[in-house]
Amino acid sequence: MNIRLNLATKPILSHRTFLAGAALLGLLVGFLFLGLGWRYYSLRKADTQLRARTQELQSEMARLQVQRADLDRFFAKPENVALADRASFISSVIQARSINWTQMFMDLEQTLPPGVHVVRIEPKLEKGIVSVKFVIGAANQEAELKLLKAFEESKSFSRVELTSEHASTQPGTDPVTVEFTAVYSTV
Amino acid sequence: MTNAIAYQEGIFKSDLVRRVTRWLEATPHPPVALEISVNRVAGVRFHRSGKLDGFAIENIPAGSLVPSAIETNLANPAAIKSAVSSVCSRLGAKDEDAALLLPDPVIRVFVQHFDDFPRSSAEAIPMLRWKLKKSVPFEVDETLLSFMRQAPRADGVDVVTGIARLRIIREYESLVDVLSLRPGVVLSSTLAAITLLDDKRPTLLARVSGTSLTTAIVREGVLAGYRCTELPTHAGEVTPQMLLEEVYPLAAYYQDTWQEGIQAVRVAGLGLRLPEFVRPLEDEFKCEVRSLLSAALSDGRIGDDARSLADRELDGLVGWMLHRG
Repeated sequence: MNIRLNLATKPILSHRTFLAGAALLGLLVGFLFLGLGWRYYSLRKADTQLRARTQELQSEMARLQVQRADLDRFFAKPENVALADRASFISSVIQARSINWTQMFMDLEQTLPPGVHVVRIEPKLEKGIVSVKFVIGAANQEAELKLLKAFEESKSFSRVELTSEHASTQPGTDPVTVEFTAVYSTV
Repeated sequence: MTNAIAYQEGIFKSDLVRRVTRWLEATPHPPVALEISVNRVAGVRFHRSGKLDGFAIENIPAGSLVPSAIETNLANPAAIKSAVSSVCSRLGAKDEDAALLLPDPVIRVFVQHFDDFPRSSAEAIPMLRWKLKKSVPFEVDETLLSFMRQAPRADGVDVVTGIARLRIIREYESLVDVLSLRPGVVLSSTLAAITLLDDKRPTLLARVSGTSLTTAIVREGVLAGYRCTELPTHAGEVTPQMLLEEVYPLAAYYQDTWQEGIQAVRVAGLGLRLPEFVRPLEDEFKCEVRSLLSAALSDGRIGDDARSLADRELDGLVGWMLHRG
Protein backbone atom coordinates (compact mmCIF):
# COMPACT_ATOMS: atom_id res chain seq x y z
CA MET A 1 0.00 0.00 0.00
CA ASN A 2 1.06 3.57 -0.64
CA ILE A 3 0.81 6.31 1.95
CA ARG A 4 0.05 9.41 -0.06
CA LEU A 5 1.15 12.07 2.40
CA ASN A 6 3.33 15.00 1.45
CA LEU A 7 4.54 17.55 3.98
CA ALA A 8 6.66 19.67 1.65
CA THR A 9 6.29 23.41 2.13
CA LYS A 10 6.02 23.75 -1.67
CA PRO A 11 4.57 20.40 -2.76
CA ILE A 12 4.86 19.30 -6.36
CA LEU A 13 1.49 19.44 -7.99
CA SER A 14 0.48 16.31 -9.81
CA HIS A 15 -0.61 16.95 -13.38
CA ARG A 16 -2.15 13.52 -13.73
CA THR A 17 -5.73 14.72 -13.37
CA PHE A 18 -5.13 17.36 -16.04
CA LEU A 19 -3.27 14.91 -18.27
CA ALA A 20 -5.93 12.22 -17.84
CA GLY A 21 -8.68 14.77 -18.57
CA ALA A 22 -6.80 16.10 -21.58
CA ALA A 23 -6.14 12.58 -22.84
CA LEU A 24 -9.79 11.65 -22.43
CA LEU A 25 -10.88 14.81 -24.19
CA GLY A 26 -8.30 14.19 -26.92
CA LEU A 27 -9.61 10.66 -27.32
CA LEU A 28 -13.19 11.88 -27.61
CA VAL A 29 -12.17 14.56 -30.10
CA GLY A 30 -10.16 11.92 -31.98
CA PHE A 31 -13.18 9.63 -32.21
CA LEU A 32 -15.34 12.57 -33.28
CA PHE A 33 -12.74 13.51 -35.90
CA LEU A 34 -12.61 9.94 -37.18
CA GLY A 35 -16.42 9.76 -37.29
CA LEU A 36 -16.75 13.05 -39.13
CA GLY A 37 -13.83 12.15 -41.38
CA TRP A 38 -15.47 8.88 -42.27
CA ARG A 39 -18.78 10.68 -42.93
CA TYR A 40 -16.99 13.25 -45.13
CA TYR A 41 -15.21 10.45 -47.00
CA SER A 42 -18.49 8.57 -47.53
CA LEU A 43 -20.27 11.70 -48.79
CA ARG A 44 -17.37 12.59 -51.03
CA LYS A 45 -17.31 9.08 -52.43
CA ALA A 46 -21.09 9.14 -53.04
CA ASP A 47 -20.76 12.58 -54.64
CA THR A 48 -17.97 11.33 -56.90
CA GLN A 49 -20.08 8.36 -57.94
CA LEU A 50 -23.04 10.65 -58.63
CA ARG A 51 -20.88 12.99 -60.67
CA ALA A 52 -19.50 10.06 -62.65
CA ARG A 53 -23.03 8.76 -63.32
CA THR A 54 -24.22 12.23 -64.34
CA GLN A 55 -21.22 12.59 -66.61
CA GLU A 56 -21.95 9.18 -68.10
CA LEU A 57 -25.61 10.08 -68.72
CA GLN A 58 -24.64 13.43 -70.21
CA SER A 59 -22.20 11.69 -72.55
CA GLU A 60 -24.88 9.18 -73.51
CA MET A 61 -27.36 12.02 -74.07
CA ALA A 62 -24.87 13.92 -76.21
CA ARG A 63 -24.12 10.77 -78.21
CA LEU A 64 -27.85 10.17 -78.77
CA GLN A 65 -28.40 13.81 -79.73
CA VAL A 66 -25.61 13.54 -82.29
CA GLN A 67 -27.16 10.30 -83.54
CA ARG A 68 -30.56 11.98 -83.74
CA ALA A 69 -29.12 14.95 -85.63
CA ASP A 70 -27.43 12.53 -88.02
CA LEU A 71 -30.71 10.71 -88.54
CA ASP A 72 -32.59 13.99 -88.97
CA ARG A 73 -30.07 15.05 -91.59
CA PHE A 74 -30.35 11.65 -93.22
CA PHE A 75 -34.12 11.79 -93.36
CA ALA A 76 -34.07 15.38 -94.57
CA LYS A 77 -32.27 14.43 -97.78
CA PRO A 78 -34.64 14.80 -100.79
CA GLU A 79 -34.35 11.17 -101.86
CA ASN A 80 -35.15 10.06 -98.29
CA VAL A 81 -38.08 12.48 -98.00
CA ALA A 82 -39.58 10.97 -101.18
CA LEU A 83 -38.91 7.53 -99.78
CA ALA A 84 -40.61 8.54 -96.51
CA ASP A 85 -43.66 9.82 -98.40
CA ARG A 86 -43.79 6.61 -100.35
CA ALA A 87 -43.45 4.60 -97.17
CA SER A 88 -46.19 6.63 -95.57
CA PHE A 89 -48.42 6.06 -98.56
CA ILE A 90 -47.71 2.33 -98.52
CA SER A 91 -48.39 2.31 -94.79
CA SER A 92 -51.75 3.95 -95.26
CA VAL A 93 -52.59 1.49 -98.03
CA ILE A 94 -51.58 -1.41 -95.83
CA GLN A 95 -53.59 0.07 -93.00
CA ALA A 96 -56.61 0.58 -95.22
CA ARG A 97 -56.33 -2.94 -96.51
CA SER A 98 -56.13 -4.31 -93.02
CA ILE A 99 -59.70 -3.11 -92.39
CA ASN A 100 -62.51 -5.44 -93.41
CA TRP A 101 -64.52 -3.02 -95.51
CA THR A 102 -67.12 -5.58 -96.50
CA GLN A 103 -67.91 -6.41 -92.91
CA MET A 104 -67.96 -2.72 -91.97
CA PHE A 105 -70.44 -1.88 -94.76
CA MET A 106 -72.56 -4.83 -93.72
CA ASP A 107 -72.62 -3.50 -90.16
CA LEU A 108 -73.31 0.01 -91.39
CA GLU A 109 -76.18 -1.25 -93.42
CA GLN A 110 -77.75 -2.71 -90.29
CA THR A 111 -77.03 0.38 -88.23
CA LEU A 112 -77.97 3.25 -90.52
CA PRO A 113 -81.66 4.30 -90.14
CA PRO A 114 -83.76 5.34 -93.12
CA GLY A 115 -83.37 8.90 -94.35
CA VAL A 116 -79.58 9.07 -94.04
CA HIS A 117 -76.70 8.20 -96.35
CA VAL A 118 -72.94 8.01 -96.00
CA VAL A 119 -71.10 10.92 -97.58
CA ARG A 120 -67.54 9.97 -96.43
CA ILE A 121 -65.82 7.32 -94.36
CA GLU A 122 -62.23 7.68 -93.08
CA PRO A 123 -61.14 4.72 -91.00
CA LYS A 124 -57.89 4.98 -89.10
CA LEU A 125 -56.06 2.11 -87.40
CA GLU A 126 -54.20 3.11 -84.26
CA LYS A 127 -52.79 0.57 -81.80
CA GLY A 128 -55.23 -2.09 -82.99
CA ILE A 129 -58.29 0.19 -82.59
CA VAL A 130 -60.22 1.26 -85.65
CA SER A 131 -61.45 4.80 -85.28
CA VAL A 132 -63.83 5.81 -88.06
CA LYS A 133 -64.71 9.34 -89.01
CA PHE A 134 -68.14 9.58 -90.63
CA VAL A 135 -69.72 12.34 -92.66
CA ILE A 136 -73.39 11.51 -92.99
CA GLY A 137 -76.09 13.34 -94.88
CA ALA A 138 -79.55 13.32 -93.28
CA ALA A 139 -82.92 14.29 -94.66
CA ASN A 140 -83.96 16.12 -91.53
CA GLN A 141 -83.25 16.56 -87.79
CA GLU A 142 -85.30 13.54 -86.87
CA ALA A 143 -83.23 11.31 -89.17
CA GLU A 144 -80.06 12.74 -87.61
CA LEU A 145 -81.24 11.89 -84.09
CA LYS A 146 -82.18 8.39 -85.15
CA LEU A 147 -78.74 8.02 -86.72
CA LEU A 148 -76.92 8.99 -83.54
CA LYS A 149 -79.19 6.82 -81.39
CA ALA A 150 -78.65 3.87 -83.73
CA PHE A 151 -74.86 4.28 -83.47
CA GLU A 152 -75.01 4.54 -79.66
CA GLU A 153 -77.04 1.34 -79.47
CA SER A 154 -74.97 -0.47 -82.08
CA LYS A 155 -72.86 -3.48 -81.08
CA SER A 156 -70.34 -2.78 -83.83
CA PHE A 157 -69.77 0.92 -83.11
CA SER A 158 -69.08 2.58 -79.81
CA ARG A 159 -67.69 5.80 -78.24
CA VAL A 160 -69.64 8.00 -80.59
CA GLU A 161 -68.39 11.61 -80.51
CA LEU A 162 -70.23 14.26 -82.45
CA THR A 163 -67.77 16.56 -84.15
CA SER A 164 -70.04 18.95 -86.07
CA GLU A 165 -73.42 19.29 -87.68
CA HIS A 166 -74.78 21.87 -90.02
CA ALA A 167 -77.98 22.42 -91.93
CA SER A 168 -78.21 23.53 -95.54
CA THR A 169 -81.08 24.90 -97.61
CA GLN A 170 -79.24 24.94 -100.89
CA PRO A 171 -80.73 22.72 -103.53
CA GLY A 172 -78.72 19.60 -104.46
CA THR A 173 -77.25 19.26 -100.95
CA ASP A 174 -78.36 17.35 -97.90
CA PRO A 175 -80.53 19.37 -95.53
CA VAL A 176 -78.43 18.19 -92.53
CA THR A 177 -74.81 17.09 -92.56
CA VAL A 178 -73.38 15.35 -89.46
CA GLU A 179 -69.74 14.62 -88.69
CA PHE A 180 -68.82 12.23 -85.92
CA THR A 181 -66.30 9.60 -84.94
CA ALA A 182 -66.94 6.13 -83.61
CA VAL A 183 -64.83 3.16 -82.71
CA TYR A 184 -65.47 0.15 -84.87
CA SER A 185 -65.19 -3.05 -82.87
CA THR A 186 -64.97 -5.72 -85.52
CA VAL A 187 -61.94 -5.53 -87.73
CA MET B 1 -25.10 10.71 3.90
CA THR B 2 -25.75 12.76 0.79
CA ASN B 3 -26.66 11.25 -2.56
CA ALA B 4 -23.34 12.41 -4.01
CA ILE B 5 -21.34 10.58 -1.36
CA ALA B 6 -23.46 7.44 -1.72
CA TYR B 7 -22.96 7.62 -5.47
CA GLN B 8 -19.21 8.00 -5.09
CA GLU B 9 -18.99 5.13 -2.66
CA GLY B 10 -20.93 3.05 -5.18
CA ILE B 11 -18.45 3.97 -7.90
CA PHE B 12 -15.52 3.26 -5.61
CA LYS B 13 -16.65 -0.33 -5.21
CA SER B 14 -15.30 -0.92 -8.72
CA ASP B 15 -11.69 -2.14 -8.73
CA LEU B 16 -10.96 -0.27 -11.96
CA VAL B 17 -12.26 3.01 -10.54
CA ARG B 18 -10.18 2.50 -7.40
CA ARG B 19 -7.07 1.85 -9.50
CA VAL B 20 -7.67 4.92 -11.65
CA THR B 21 -8.29 7.02 -8.55
CA ARG B 22 -5.09 5.72 -6.93
CA TRP B 23 -3.17 6.57 -10.10
CA LEU B 24 -4.69 10.04 -10.24
CA GLU B 25 -4.03 10.70 -6.55
CA ALA B 26 -0.54 9.16 -6.48
CA THR B 27 2.17 11.31 -4.97
CA PRO B 28 4.44 12.79 -7.67
CA HIS B 29 7.70 10.90 -8.05
CA PRO B 30 10.65 13.26 -8.64
CA PRO B 31 13.79 11.91 -10.36
CA VAL B 32 15.88 12.31 -7.21
CA ALA B 33 15.18 11.13 -3.65
CA LEU B 34 17.24 11.74 -0.52
CA GLU B 35 16.85 9.83 2.72
CA ILE B 36 18.27 11.59 5.74
CA SER B 37 18.74 9.45 8.84
CA VAL B 38 20.70 9.80 12.06
CA ASN B 39 23.82 8.20 10.71
CA ARG B 40 23.80 8.75 6.97
CA VAL B 41 22.46 10.59 3.97
CA ALA B 42 21.51 8.39 1.05
CA GLY B 43 20.35 9.51 -2.35
CA VAL B 44 19.05 7.82 -5.46
CA ARG B 45 18.37 8.92 -8.99
CA PHE B 46 15.66 7.29 -11.07
CA HIS B 47 15.25 6.86 -14.81
CA ARG B 48 12.07 8.21 -16.34
CA SER B 49 10.82 4.62 -16.31
CA GLY B 50 11.25 4.54 -12.51
CA LYS B 51 14.25 2.20 -12.62
CA LEU B 52 17.24 2.96 -10.45
CA ASP B 53 19.83 5.05 -12.26
CA GLY B 54 22.36 5.44 -9.45
CA PHE B 55 22.76 5.96 -5.75
CA ALA B 56 25.17 7.50 -3.27
CA ILE B 57 25.61 7.23 0.49
CA GLU B 58 27.49 9.52 2.87
CA ASN B 59 27.86 8.86 6.58
CA ILE B 60 27.42 11.71 8.98
CA PRO B 61 29.17 12.08 12.33
CA ALA B 62 27.26 10.70 15.31
CA GLY B 63 25.16 13.34 17.03
CA SER B 64 25.01 15.60 13.96
CA LEU B 65 21.30 14.91 13.57
CA VAL B 66 18.86 14.65 16.45
CA PRO B 67 15.45 13.75 15.03
CA SER B 68 12.63 15.50 16.82
CA ALA B 69 9.20 16.82 15.99
CA ILE B 70 9.73 19.85 18.25
CA GLU B 71 13.34 20.92 18.62
CA THR B 72 16.01 21.83 16.13
CA ASN B 73 17.17 18.68 14.34
CA LEU B 74 20.41 19.76 12.76
CA ALA B 75 22.94 19.79 15.59
CA ASN B 76 25.80 19.99 13.13
CA PRO B 77 24.37 21.61 10.01
CA ALA B 78 27.72 21.93 8.28
CA ALA B 79 28.41 18.18 8.46
CA ILE B 80 24.96 17.30 7.17
CA LYS B 81 25.08 19.93 4.42
CA SER B 82 28.42 18.58 3.35
CA ALA B 83 27.04 15.00 3.21
CA VAL B 84 23.97 16.14 1.27
CA SER B 85 26.14 18.14 -1.16
CA SER B 86 28.43 15.18 -1.70
CA VAL B 87 25.52 12.82 -2.37
CA CYS B 88 23.83 15.29 -4.72
CA SER B 89 27.08 15.97 -6.51
CA ARG B 90 27.62 12.23 -7.10
CA LEU B 91 24.07 11.91 -8.40
CA GLY B 92 24.39 15.01 -10.57
CA ALA B 93 21.34 16.41 -8.82
CA LYS B 94 20.90 20.12 -9.39
CA ASP B 95 18.04 22.43 -10.25
CA GLU B 96 15.36 19.76 -10.24
CA ASP B 97 12.60 18.35 -8.08
CA ALA B 98 13.53 15.99 -5.25
CA ALA B 99 11.83 13.86 -2.63
CA LEU B 100 13.03 14.04 0.98
CA LEU B 101 12.60 11.09 3.33
CA LEU B 102 13.00 12.31 6.89
CA PRO B 103 13.49 10.47 10.18
CA ASP B 104 10.20 9.16 11.53
CA PRO B 105 10.08 11.28 14.72
CA VAL B 106 9.87 14.46 12.62
CA ILE B 107 6.44 13.60 11.28
CA ARG B 108 3.60 12.61 13.58
CA VAL B 109 1.14 10.24 11.97
CA PHE B 110 -2.42 9.66 13.12
CA VAL B 111 -5.03 7.18 11.93
CA GLN B 112 -8.46 8.51 12.82
CA HIS B 113 -12.02 7.48 12.16
CA PHE B 114 -14.70 10.01 11.24
CA ASP B 115 -18.40 9.39 10.86
CA ASP B 116 -18.57 12.29 8.46
CA PHE B 117 -15.62 13.90 6.74
CA PRO B 118 -15.58 16.88 4.35
CA ARG B 119 -14.85 16.11 0.69
CA SER B 120 -12.86 19.29 0.10
CA SER B 121 -9.39 19.82 1.53
CA ALA B 122 -10.25 23.45 2.31
CA GLU B 123 -12.76 22.24 4.89
CA ALA B 124 -10.92 19.09 5.98
CA ILE B 125 -7.57 20.67 6.93
CA PRO B 126 -8.93 23.19 9.49
CA MET B 127 -11.04 20.42 10.99
CA LEU B 128 -8.01 18.10 11.31
CA ARG B 129 -5.91 20.91 12.81
CA TRP B 130 -8.59 21.50 15.40
CA LYS B 131 -8.91 17.77 16.14
CA LEU B 132 -5.14 17.33 16.54
CA LYS B 133 -4.64 20.51 18.55
CA LYS B 134 -4.11 18.64 21.80
CA SER B 135 -2.35 15.63 20.30
CA VAL B 136 0.84 17.41 19.20
CA PRO B 137 3.34 19.18 21.45
CA PHE B 138 3.46 22.34 19.35
CA GLU B 139 1.16 25.02 18.06
CA VAL B 140 -0.93 23.61 15.20
CA ASP B 141 -0.89 26.96 13.47
CA GLU B 142 2.79 26.56 12.65
CA THR B 143 2.50 23.09 11.20
CA LEU B 144 2.31 21.41 7.86
CA LEU B 145 -0.50 18.93 7.53
CA SER B 146 -1.24 16.32 4.91
CA PHE B 147 -3.96 13.69 4.93
CA MET B 148 -5.34 10.81 2.90
CA ARG B 149 -8.63 8.98 3.06
CA GLN B 150 -8.69 5.22 3.18
CA ALA B 151 -11.33 2.51 3.19
CA PRO B 152 -13.20 2.57 6.50
CA ARG B 153 -13.58 -0.39 8.83
CA ALA B 154 -17.32 0.28 9.09
CA ASP B 155 -19.43 3.29 8.14
CA GLY B 156 -17.71 6.66 7.87
CA VAL B 157 -14.22 7.56 6.71
CA ASP B 158 -10.76 6.57 7.99
CA VAL B 159 -8.17 9.29 7.58
CA VAL B 160 -4.39 9.08 7.84
CA THR B 161 -2.92 12.42 8.81
CA GLY B 162 0.70 13.45 8.84
CA ILE B 163 1.60 16.57 10.77
CA ALA B 164 4.99 18.21 11.21
CA ARG B 165 6.31 21.45 12.53
CA LEU B 166 6.90 23.93 9.72
CA ARG B 167 10.20 25.13 11.22
CA ILE B 168 11.59 21.58 11.34
CA ILE B 169 10.59 20.75 7.77
CA ARG B 170 12.18 24.01 6.59
CA GLU B 171 15.35 22.98 8.38
CA TYR B 172 15.57 19.85 6.20
CA GLU B 173 14.43 21.60 3.04
CA SER B 174 17.16 24.22 3.52
CA LEU B 175 19.75 21.45 3.12
CA VAL B 176 18.84 21.04 -0.54
CA ASP B 177 17.73 24.61 -1.25
CA VAL B 178 21.36 25.69 -1.56
CA LEU B 179 21.84 23.07 -4.29
CA SER B 180 18.88 24.52 -6.23
CA LEU B 181 16.95 21.34 -5.61
CA ARG B 182 13.22 21.75 -5.09
CA PRO B 183 12.02 19.47 -2.31
CA GLY B 184 8.53 18.89 -3.70
CA VAL B 185 7.82 15.73 -1.71
CA VAL B 186 8.53 15.29 2.00
CA LEU B 187 7.53 12.27 4.05
CA SER B 188 9.05 9.97 6.62
CA SER B 189 11.20 6.92 5.84
CA THR B 190 8.75 4.45 7.36
CA LEU B 191 5.81 5.92 5.43
CA ALA B 192 7.85 5.28 2.29
CA ALA B 193 8.95 1.82 3.44
CA ILE B 194 5.39 0.66 4.16
CA THR B 195 5.01 0.12 0.41
CA LEU B 196 7.28 -2.91 0.79
CA LEU B 197 4.75 -4.73 2.96
CA ASP B 198 2.51 -7.39 1.54
CA ASP B 199 -0.81 -6.16 2.92
CA LYS B 200 -3.01 -9.08 1.84
CA ARG B 201 -3.03 -10.21 5.49
CA PRO B 202 -2.65 -8.17 8.71
CA THR B 203 1.06 -7.38 8.80
CA LEU B 204 3.00 -5.57 11.50
CA LEU B 205 6.12 -3.60 10.67
CA ALA B 206 8.67 -2.79 13.36
CA ARG B 207 11.34 -0.45 12.03
CA VAL B 208 14.23 0.73 14.13
CA SER B 209 16.30 3.76 13.16
CA GLY B 210 18.72 5.20 15.67
CA THR B 211 16.79 5.27 18.92
CA SER B 212 13.35 5.50 17.34
CA LEU B 213 11.05 2.59 16.75
CA THR B 214 8.15 2.90 14.35
CA THR B 215 5.42 0.31 14.44
CA ALA B 216 2.79 0.14 11.74
CA ILE B 217 0.07 -2.35 10.91
CA VAL B 218 -1.35 -2.65 7.41
CA ARG B 219 -4.23 -4.72 6.19
CA GLU B 220 -5.71 -4.89 2.68
CA GLY B 221 -4.53 -1.47 1.57
CA VAL B 222 -5.34 0.19 4.85
CA LEU B 223 -2.99 1.61 7.44
CA ALA B 224 -4.66 0.21 10.53
CA GLY B 225 -2.24 1.61 13.09
CA TYR B 226 0.94 3.69 13.40
CA ARG B 227 3.12 4.48 16.38
CA CYS B 228 6.55 6.07 16.64
CA THR B 229 8.32 5.80 19.98
CA GLU B 230 11.75 6.39 21.46
CA LEU B 231 13.72 3.34 22.55
CA PRO B 232 15.89 3.57 25.69
CA THR B 233 18.92 2.79 23.54
CA HIS B 234 19.98 2.64 19.88
CA ALA B 235 19.46 -0.22 17.44
CA GLY B 236 22.78 -1.85 18.25
CA GLU B 237 21.89 -2.35 21.90
CA VAL B 238 18.13 -2.78 21.88
CA THR B 239 16.90 -6.08 23.33
CA PRO B 240 13.96 -8.20 22.14
CA GLN B 241 12.13 -7.40 25.36
CA MET B 242 12.49 -3.63 24.80
CA LEU B 243 11.18 -4.05 21.27
CA LEU B 244 8.25 -6.18 22.35
CA GLU B 245 7.26 -3.71 25.04
CA GLU B 246 7.05 -0.93 22.45
CA VAL B 247 5.37 -3.01 19.76
CA TYR B 248 2.82 -4.69 22.00
CA PRO B 249 0.45 -1.69 22.61
CA LEU B 250 -0.24 -1.16 18.92
CA ALA B 251 -0.67 -4.91 18.32
CA ALA B 252 -3.13 -5.09 21.24
CA TYR B 253 -5.00 -2.05 19.92
CA TYR B 254 -5.27 -3.72 16.53
CA GLN B 255 -6.50 -7.01 17.97
CA ASP B 256 -9.13 -5.20 20.07
CA THR B 257 -10.31 -2.95 17.27
CA TRP B 258 -10.19 -5.26 14.27
CA GLN B 259 -11.00 -8.46 16.17
CA GLU B 260 -8.19 -10.42 14.52
CA GLY B 261 -4.57 -11.23 15.23
CA ILE B 262 -1.40 -10.16 13.46
CA GLN B 263 -0.56 -12.72 10.75
CA ALA B 264 2.91 -11.57 9.70
CA VAL B 265 5.68 -9.48 11.25
CA ARG B 266 8.35 -7.64 9.30
CA VAL B 267 11.36 -6.09 10.98
CA ALA B 268 13.74 -3.46 9.62
CA GLY B 269 16.78 -1.62 10.91
CA LEU B 270 18.24 -4.38 13.07
CA GLY B 271 20.73 -5.60 10.48
CA LEU B 272 22.65 -8.70 11.51
CA ARG B 273 20.97 -8.75 14.92
CA LEU B 274 17.61 -9.79 13.44
CA PRO B 275 17.92 -13.52 14.36
CA GLU B 276 17.99 -12.54 18.06
CA PHE B 277 14.50 -11.04 17.68
CA VAL B 278 12.81 -13.62 15.48
CA ARG B 279 12.06 -16.26 18.13
CA PRO B 280 10.65 -13.83 20.78
CA LEU B 281 8.46 -12.12 18.21
CA GLU B 282 7.25 -15.47 16.81
CA ASP B 283 6.42 -16.64 20.31
CA GLU B 284 4.48 -13.47 20.99
CA PHE B 285 2.53 -13.18 17.73
CA LYS B 286 2.43 -16.85 16.69
CA CYS B 287 3.20 -15.97 13.09
CA GLU B 288 6.05 -15.70 10.62
CA VAL B 289 8.71 -13.06 11.43
CA ARG B 290 11.06 -11.91 8.66
CA SER B 291 13.21 -9.02 7.60
CA LEU B 292 11.21 -6.42 5.65
CA LEU B 293 13.65 -6.29 2.75
CA SER B 294 14.38 -10.01 2.48
CA ALA B 295 10.64 -10.76 2.49
CA ALA B 296 10.03 -8.13 -0.18
CA LEU B 297 12.90 -9.56 -2.25
CA SER B 298 11.72 -13.15 -1.97
CA ASP B 299 8.11 -12.09 -2.76
CA GLY B 300 9.39 -10.44 -5.93
CA ARG B 301 8.15 -7.02 -4.84
CA ILE B 302 11.58 -5.48 -5.46
CA GLY B 303 13.19 -5.42 -8.91
CA ASP B 304 16.78 -6.46 -9.48
CA ASP B 305 17.79 -2.83 -9.94
CA ALA B 306 16.87 -2.12 -6.30
CA ARG B 307 18.85 -5.05 -4.92
CA SER B 308 21.92 -2.86 -4.39
CA LEU B 309 19.82 -0.52 -2.19
CA ALA B 310 18.32 -3.45 -0.31
CA ASP B 311 21.80 -4.83 0.38
CA ARG B 312 22.57 -1.54 2.16
CA GLU B 313 19.29 -1.65 4.11
CA LEU B 314 17.96 1.51 2.50
CA ASP B 315 14.39 0.33 2.99
CA GLY B 316 12.96 3.84 2.89
CA LEU B 317 14.38 4.51 -0.56
CA VAL B 318 13.47 1.04 -1.84
CA GLY B 319 9.92 1.61 -0.63
CA TRP B 320 9.89 5.03 -2.28
CA MET B 321 10.85 3.33 -5.56
CA LEU B 322 7.67 1.27 -5.33
CA HIS B 323 5.71 4.40 -4.51
CA ARG B 324 5.57 5.34 -8.17
CA GLY B 325 1.92 5.04 -9.14
